[in-house]
Amino acid sequence: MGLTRRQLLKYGAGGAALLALGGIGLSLQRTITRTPRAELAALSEREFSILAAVADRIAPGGDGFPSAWDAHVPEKLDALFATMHPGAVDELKQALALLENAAAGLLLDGRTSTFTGSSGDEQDDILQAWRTSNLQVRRTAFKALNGLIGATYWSSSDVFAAIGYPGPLALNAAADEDPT
Amino acid sequence: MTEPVHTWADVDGHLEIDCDVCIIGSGAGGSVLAAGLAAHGHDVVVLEAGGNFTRADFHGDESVAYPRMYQERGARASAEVGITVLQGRTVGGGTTVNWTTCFRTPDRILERWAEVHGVRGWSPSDLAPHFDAVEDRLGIATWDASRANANNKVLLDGCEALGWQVDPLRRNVRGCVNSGQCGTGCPIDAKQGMAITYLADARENGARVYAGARVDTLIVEGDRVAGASVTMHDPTTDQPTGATMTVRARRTVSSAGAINGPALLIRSGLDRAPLGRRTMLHPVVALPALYDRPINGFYGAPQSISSHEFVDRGADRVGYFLETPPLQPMLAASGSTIFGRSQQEFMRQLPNIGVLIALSIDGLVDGDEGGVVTLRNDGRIHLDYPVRPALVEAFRDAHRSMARIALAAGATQVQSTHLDPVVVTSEADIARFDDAPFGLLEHSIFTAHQMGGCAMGDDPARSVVSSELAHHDVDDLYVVDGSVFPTALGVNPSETIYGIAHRAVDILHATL
Repeated sequence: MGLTRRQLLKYGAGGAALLALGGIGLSLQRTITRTPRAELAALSEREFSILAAVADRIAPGGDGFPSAWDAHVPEKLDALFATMHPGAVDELKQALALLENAAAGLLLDGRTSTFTGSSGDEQDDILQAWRTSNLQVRRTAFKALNGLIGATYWSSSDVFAAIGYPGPLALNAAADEDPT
Repeated sequence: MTEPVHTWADVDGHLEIDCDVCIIGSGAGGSVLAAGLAAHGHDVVVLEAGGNFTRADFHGDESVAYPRMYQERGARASAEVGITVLQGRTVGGGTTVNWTTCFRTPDRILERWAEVHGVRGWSPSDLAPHFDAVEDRLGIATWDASRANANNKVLLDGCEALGWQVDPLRRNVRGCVNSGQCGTGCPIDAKQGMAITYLADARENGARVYAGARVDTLIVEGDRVAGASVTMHDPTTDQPTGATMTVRARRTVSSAGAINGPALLIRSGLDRAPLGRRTMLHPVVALPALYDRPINGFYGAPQSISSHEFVDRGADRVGYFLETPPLQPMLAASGSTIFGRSQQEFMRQLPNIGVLIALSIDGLVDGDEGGVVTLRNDGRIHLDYPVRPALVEAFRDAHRSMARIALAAGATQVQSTHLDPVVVTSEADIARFDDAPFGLLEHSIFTAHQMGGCAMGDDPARSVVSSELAHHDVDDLYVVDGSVFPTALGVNPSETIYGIAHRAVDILHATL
């Protein structure tokens, strides 16, 4: 799009308006839902399902890794959101809606399907486009979602074996061992 | 009689308290001040927004520790999320979760505060006896380089090979066993954080400490501050319990730290230029590298070596200093901007990954005004921190320096945190950083050192509190924490805050 950095930052001020696009026409579209394995505390089932779809592209698993779904990342994030400032959670929900929304996707990217209705490769392409977008609000939304999903996934003991991390030393009771 | 730490569960309905001094925040500033004033016999109340987590809660579990003991459930960031803000929020404040690195304030910084920022009475010789005292109380001593983990040895060996300044650093620990868990709370209380040192001393002398006590506003009555209004929170959920407190005090002290301290004053109707401005972050860029030997950066003291080779790069260039982070999985992954299978393959190499960090010294170059803290309409904190050209140049130069260190220490491959990672395997590749983009949302940027926003100085047009730390406009309000720094330091800030707070004991005591 050839926007300069300064223009990009300027458009950032309109991020709230762009995020609001995510709501347009979304009620008419069908989100492919997933059934949460715990009672939801912060997200609707639709929001949960979009988040779960994103999480499974951020951390798809395989080759010894659990997927984000296997590691219960969506439910853990829902529980975390219930303890965060409602204003911050609202922005995340708006980002999920904009990501899912095929109408907004058509307007901004020429995409005609919802995020949850896209194939895995298509979902990766969408996330990659957001990650490197010239619209600051999209880079911000990607970084926020990627950060929260990644933090939840990589702090899960389910991934330790795959990355060769023996886990924290159990030191509360007694300690006389230097692991280095 | 030693007072226990009172928690949210101890307060029902509404509690009214009178005291001599109400201190808001139990971190590096508030705890040292509380201990000194309580030892003088003053009736002290300390209000801590975070929870009362102790060694029994510290298991090195990142999934628990960060939401519990860091600001905004571990998710604090600058407005566009370009800068990740690691900032403690628990009894003991940042000192419960920091990486234990201690430096005295560099002389050149204190001299600059006097010459450029109108600060009186904080010369190196004024502070020296206070540093002596806190170093003794906190066991601050040089950590033997022979116990440095392999990640720190990269920094040591690389700098030595290049002929660059590098030294073992000092830490506030006693009996440290190198667990590497500083950032999630020390499981054996080897770290001499505030909760088990100065705050415990204060409690021994009768200071009352309330955890889960978030100050909504200061009580402003006419031209004086008369205390604080508090809502109690359950720190495991961060939700209000419905209980409230009113603390009335002869003197009220904000030790809420940079970012939160200025926000508290704004909420209290005390907004006045330059409150919230010149918020400094020591913006951090990180550079991962792969080694064909185990690094195991998840164990061992996170920081034991530092290089100050590049702190002074001339008057028009932003300096930086070099250290290392701990590399538990979540923190290590948070530094990368890639996702999906490529990130999984990167993380699979974690035991062989070393990471260097460069901390830029903001607020010293002309035109470097740092960031600005304001409040959003919904009450949340808004941190705007532009990355100006001088900082971009420093980020770029720091990447070159860190790549050279890693290569000199035997790295087989350096891979930057850029959206399109810059890969370096030889000196010739370092030129690849010349054209790489640097700035917000182009690569990872962190801060673990929040400073300024409530600067001290004698000119009310350029500072918020006096050189005696008293608010310029209202009586009986003091600020004792890192927010009073007029600039960043070029060293890890905890000991500077300890020293300032230790001297503030004399200042406050003289008024009571």
